[in-house]
Amino acid sequence: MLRVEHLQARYGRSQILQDVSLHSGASEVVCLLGRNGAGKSTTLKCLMGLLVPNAGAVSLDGAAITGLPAYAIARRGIGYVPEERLIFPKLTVAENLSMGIWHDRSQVPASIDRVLGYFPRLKEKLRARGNTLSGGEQQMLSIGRALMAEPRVLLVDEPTEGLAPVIVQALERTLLALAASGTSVLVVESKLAVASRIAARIYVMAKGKTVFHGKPDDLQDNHEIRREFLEV
Amino acid sequence: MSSHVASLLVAGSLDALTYWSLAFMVAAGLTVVFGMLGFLNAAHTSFYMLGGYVAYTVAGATGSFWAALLLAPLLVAVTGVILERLLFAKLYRAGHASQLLLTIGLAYVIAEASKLVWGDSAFAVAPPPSLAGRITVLGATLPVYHLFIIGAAMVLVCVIAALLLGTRLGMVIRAASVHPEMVGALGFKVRDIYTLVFAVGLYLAAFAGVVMAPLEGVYPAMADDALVQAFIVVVAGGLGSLPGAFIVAGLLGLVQGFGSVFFSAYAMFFPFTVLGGVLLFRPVGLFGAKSA
Repeated sequence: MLRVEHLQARYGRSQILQDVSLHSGASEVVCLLGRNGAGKSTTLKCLMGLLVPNAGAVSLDGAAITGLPAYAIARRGIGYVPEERLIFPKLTVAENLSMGIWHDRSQVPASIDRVLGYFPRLKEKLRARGNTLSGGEQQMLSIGRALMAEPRVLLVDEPTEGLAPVIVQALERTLLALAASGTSVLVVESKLAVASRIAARIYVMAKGKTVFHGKPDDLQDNHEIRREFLEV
Repeated sequence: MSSHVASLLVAGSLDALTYWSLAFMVAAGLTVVFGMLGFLNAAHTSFYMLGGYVAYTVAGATGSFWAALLLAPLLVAVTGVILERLLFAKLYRAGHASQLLLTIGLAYVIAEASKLVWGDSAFAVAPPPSLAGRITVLGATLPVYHLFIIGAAMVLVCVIAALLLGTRLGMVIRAASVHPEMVGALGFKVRDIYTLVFAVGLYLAAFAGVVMAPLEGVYPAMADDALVQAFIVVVAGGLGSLPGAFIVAGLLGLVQGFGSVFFSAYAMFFPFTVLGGVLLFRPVGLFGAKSA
């Protein structure tokens, strides 16, 4: 579904991504794991078209999407949940969700109903402004907004960061349910425990490169990779 | 005696409302463009002047003020779209200093180009016959055209508010003013939204210029005369705040309207008094964000 080959990207003069290759298929959760500064979030920004790569290729179902602007990538069926959540603070929850549909507003009510199935807690908050929500609710809203257009691939950046364990469990269940419904879910994560619970496959990133690829059990058994690239 | 005071009060109130309306109309586009796009356009009142000049030409060619009011803002907005695509768009992320440098330069270019086309003279633009008369209220004789200006400003306020708060497009614009990258990542073409907002801002500037033309004529220093007042309204109201601009324009209207009736010799100081007074108590302007 989503394939990334030898991706490179820079901010100004610093080359942040050196060589990133990965693949995320239908109906699976894939985790991108690594320490802070490894280039995980930058990778997602490149995939979403928010940063133009200076080398490498990204394709969706075989069609090249490298270097396309964000709106064009979104329209091809990729959803994005940024680390900062980027809720529109003065719009209501319902309006924030409706922002997830760019093309046909007649689909908004049915899509909101579908998304509320994943996040029933948002139902009673539909009229509340985005800036009045708790961190967990904001994360649900951010994911819900990305799901409005039924993306084939969902990019999620550190969804569990700073959230209470009970919310983390709920989000993990949601991501697994999404994958079970056919979506390709690519999650950036910094905690091995979370990645091990949800991922079918894990990529480890360090210094802008993908340095390991395997199943969670493979990573558990690989002390060298864990010690060198994951443990603090 | 009391009837004299009453007529002065009526005249002062109408003057105040007229100034309010004009000050708001000139500043509205400036603050919309700053609030939504973060772009500081020092050439804003140059487009206001262009509106006046184009209206003069259209009114001369067609013999109709209404044709000028309809066409001139549209023509200026189209020019604005071209300039936005060629120039302004490159500086959305470049910071306010670069934006000011570019637009101050552009203001000079527009001023000189206007002189090449229209010359150095001032021109009068006649109001439509239906608005040319005067009416008497409580002993005060009032130009009907002033009432038209007030009405036009009220319609503008309602249209802008309805567009921004009551439509889906307005919602997308408000969202893009906070997190433009996210709006793009949701499939909206933010580039086009920015162009549209810029066009609306310049349409408002030109509209104000057309409305102003029958009042004071069109002349080469028109842009400079309005620029300071427009920035006073936008800064004291809080950069980018439309309600703030509306209220400060009202304060300006009050001091200008009554001031020019009772203390006409000091009228030119009043706008700065309002600016200083507001900034003394709220350095970010009435509705300005703390971080601004």
